[in-house]
Amino acid sequence: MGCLENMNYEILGRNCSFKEAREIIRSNSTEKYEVPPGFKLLEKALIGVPPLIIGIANEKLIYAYTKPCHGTFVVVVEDPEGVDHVRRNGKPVQ
Amino acid sequence: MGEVLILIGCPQIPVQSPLVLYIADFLQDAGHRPVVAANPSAKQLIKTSDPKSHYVSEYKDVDKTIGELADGTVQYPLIISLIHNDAGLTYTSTTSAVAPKTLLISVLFGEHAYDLAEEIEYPTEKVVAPVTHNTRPLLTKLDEVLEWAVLKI
Repeated sequence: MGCLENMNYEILGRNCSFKEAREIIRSNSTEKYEVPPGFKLLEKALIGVPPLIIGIANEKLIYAYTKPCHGTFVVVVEDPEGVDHVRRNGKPVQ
Repeated sequence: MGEVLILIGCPQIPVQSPLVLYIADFLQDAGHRPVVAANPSAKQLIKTSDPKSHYVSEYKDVDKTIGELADGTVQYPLIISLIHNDAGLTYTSTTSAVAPKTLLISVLFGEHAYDLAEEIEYPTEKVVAPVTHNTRPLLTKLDEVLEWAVLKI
């Protein structure tokens, strides 16, 4: 576990609204899970408007990452522990 | 003396910092301790305006604070959130979800204030005016809502 900056990640979308981010996650994921706001990834509470969707594709996590001055990004992160955590604790959705 | 959280976003809209001091002043007069949750740049602007902490009692990191609310390690009876963009709405929506028992006031400003207010789906009392430099259109409703809120907590 650690900071996103220390992980291997790519950015799928930037300066999105949260709704746009949700659609990008849905359309790029093979598995989708709903989690509550405040769900922890990389030891940090996820920020988001419910329903909060986390996707998985190619064993990588796809989720929205919001910063106050930079809006919402959609990131693809290599985080095997996070993938396991989401599969165990998220609610599978279509 | 209860603590009240003022949650703020990106400081790019000029009315934000004076609104924080105005709300903090109101809370102090009402016997509450104002705590501001902010990112580093927003915090620095407030601290520069209030270097001796006459208005704001404490500063916290906004992401860490939401994590603590989600964990249940901190609670506030009242949170006042200042919103002017989609990120601010997203942070406030998260706050509402992780602190459902808290009385939440959403103060919306900036050129998209009305559009943002229409998108709100969480329970909150809204104070809305599409202002960037002039706080006056917000203050009458803000006073009214703050007076009501401090009586409820």
